[in-house]
Amino acid sequence: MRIRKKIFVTSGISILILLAVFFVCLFFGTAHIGIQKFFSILMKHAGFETGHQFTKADDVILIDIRMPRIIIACLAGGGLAIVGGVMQGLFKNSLAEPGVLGWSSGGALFAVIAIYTGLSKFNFLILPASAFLGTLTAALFVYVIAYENGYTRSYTLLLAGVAIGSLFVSLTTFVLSIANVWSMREMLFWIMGGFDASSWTHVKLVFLPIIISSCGIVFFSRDLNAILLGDESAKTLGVNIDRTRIWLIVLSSVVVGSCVSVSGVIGFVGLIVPHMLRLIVGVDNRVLLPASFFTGAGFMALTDLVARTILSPQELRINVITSCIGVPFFLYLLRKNRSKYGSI
Amino acid sequence: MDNDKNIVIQDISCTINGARILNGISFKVNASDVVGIIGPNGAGKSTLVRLLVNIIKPDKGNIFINGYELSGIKISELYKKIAFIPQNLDFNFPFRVIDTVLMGRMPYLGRLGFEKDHDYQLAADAIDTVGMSGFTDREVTTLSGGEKQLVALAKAIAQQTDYLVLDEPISNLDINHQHRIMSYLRDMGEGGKGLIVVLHDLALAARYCTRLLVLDKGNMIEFDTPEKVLSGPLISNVFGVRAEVYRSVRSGSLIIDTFDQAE
Repeated sequence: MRIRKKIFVTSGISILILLAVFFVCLFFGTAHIGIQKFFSILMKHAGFETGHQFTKADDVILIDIRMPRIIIACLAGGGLAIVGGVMQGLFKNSLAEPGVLGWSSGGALFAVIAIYTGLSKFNFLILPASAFLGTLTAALFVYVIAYENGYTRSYTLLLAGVAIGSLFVSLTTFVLSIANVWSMREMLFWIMGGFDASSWTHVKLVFLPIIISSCGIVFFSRDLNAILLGDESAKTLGVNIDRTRIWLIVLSSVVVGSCVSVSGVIGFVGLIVPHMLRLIVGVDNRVLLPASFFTGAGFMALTDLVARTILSPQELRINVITSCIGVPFFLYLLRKNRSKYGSI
Repeated sequence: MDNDKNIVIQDISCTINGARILNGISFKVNASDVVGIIGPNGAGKSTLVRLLVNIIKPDKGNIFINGYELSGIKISELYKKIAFIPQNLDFNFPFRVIDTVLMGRMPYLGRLGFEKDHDYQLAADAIDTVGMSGFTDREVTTLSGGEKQLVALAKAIAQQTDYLVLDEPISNLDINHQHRIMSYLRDMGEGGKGLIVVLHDLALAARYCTRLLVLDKGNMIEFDTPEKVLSGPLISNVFGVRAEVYRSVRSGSLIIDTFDQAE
């Protein structure tokens, strides 16, 4: 199949699946809303009256609680998945992922500092901007430590990521500890991640940064393909390697920072989704990255549905689920590539 | 400067990390030339070819491609004129052969442009040229070293440049693939393309190259036809081994026998 057709087919199918997942996740939840009421509420907000009765509580649950939560889950899942795909290509390392390499922890630390110091009250963009700076700081730390002559050594990259991530988690815990206004639940939110506090304000906050930056990432997807053939090959195909690397790291940091500022640290989505998709759509980033975004969005929405319903009325932390899937997958990849990583 | 098809290298010097790697190199490559760059390890061969394809910049001197100064050519145009196959092929991601070869068309496509029928046809022809047409949909990670080198060659052919620069393309290959690749390069030279290829095997260099450039410690020692360049004393001086050079009665090729200095 020609690449243009492949992009449209894979993106089209993943968008359709995402839409189906979105409505399934919107329908199911702790509070049961019948199918007729469900459609009536949606139709009413689309400007059509169906005549079916529903309560104000049903409307609030569906539109003001569930819908923004699912949209945030989709944005975070899509963002983390596309960045995972970029990182695996950029670092030529199949284990690279925003959570594993400490990027998300950097974002969480700076977001918590912005809230603690009161900076986030001055402007609503300061919180995601802080998370972006934190992510970029972590990304540059890890990159500078592991980068050498066009390559990032696999073990160095992973160990640097784990070390930087642990440091940022410890500092986040410290800030949360000295800020006595915060409860344990809020601590868990930043360190463990989750969508339980999501609102339309959060959606407005991160929708454009995540969507625009993800489009920016796709803009560089062919250059990323060339970089996968090696820096010298890419350069002699006309790719400006340094500019592409910087843009991809900055755009990825905006995406991860935005995700973290509304969902805390959620791991392994960026690992699982791109790897699964490579088996289906191949390794061409022009196909893989958009498909990763839409599939990651659907994956996260479904994971969140499980998290909020499986122990209903209690909520399971979403990282419990992503880690239960992601850690075995991570170990599988590590074992599969052990000869490769063992030699570096 | 005339506008003939050639690469002119004028008095190029290059320093990396404070060490002088190349010292006042000058030579000219015409279309149809197959220039072999030979010399011991550390002579500056890889640095020279990286300068030619603008991966690194010289401290001094000029490089002209078809009459235009290299640094003045827009990047988008430069790699329509000259292609490069590096020493280490980084084929670690499972792109299909056709997708890898299609990347040779990148200099011709806009950032968001897609490959058209013409590009697919050129890629298929290039794969066919190197005898890999049965491998079009194979993943490059599953290929042998020789097959990977052929795919890299197909990518460079699909790039449709006037010149092709190769850094040690046959170093790790079996004899069959060494001859196969060198004969493709000779054919490309005969077809009007200018080739510059770093080689370690002096016999293959003598057999397939139209001219040889000998580098030692960053200096150009000789630049002429293989018959004039390759001699026992030169090989002894440059490589530090005793050598006898004679012509095969059967094939007419130059035979180079080398011995340890003590033998």
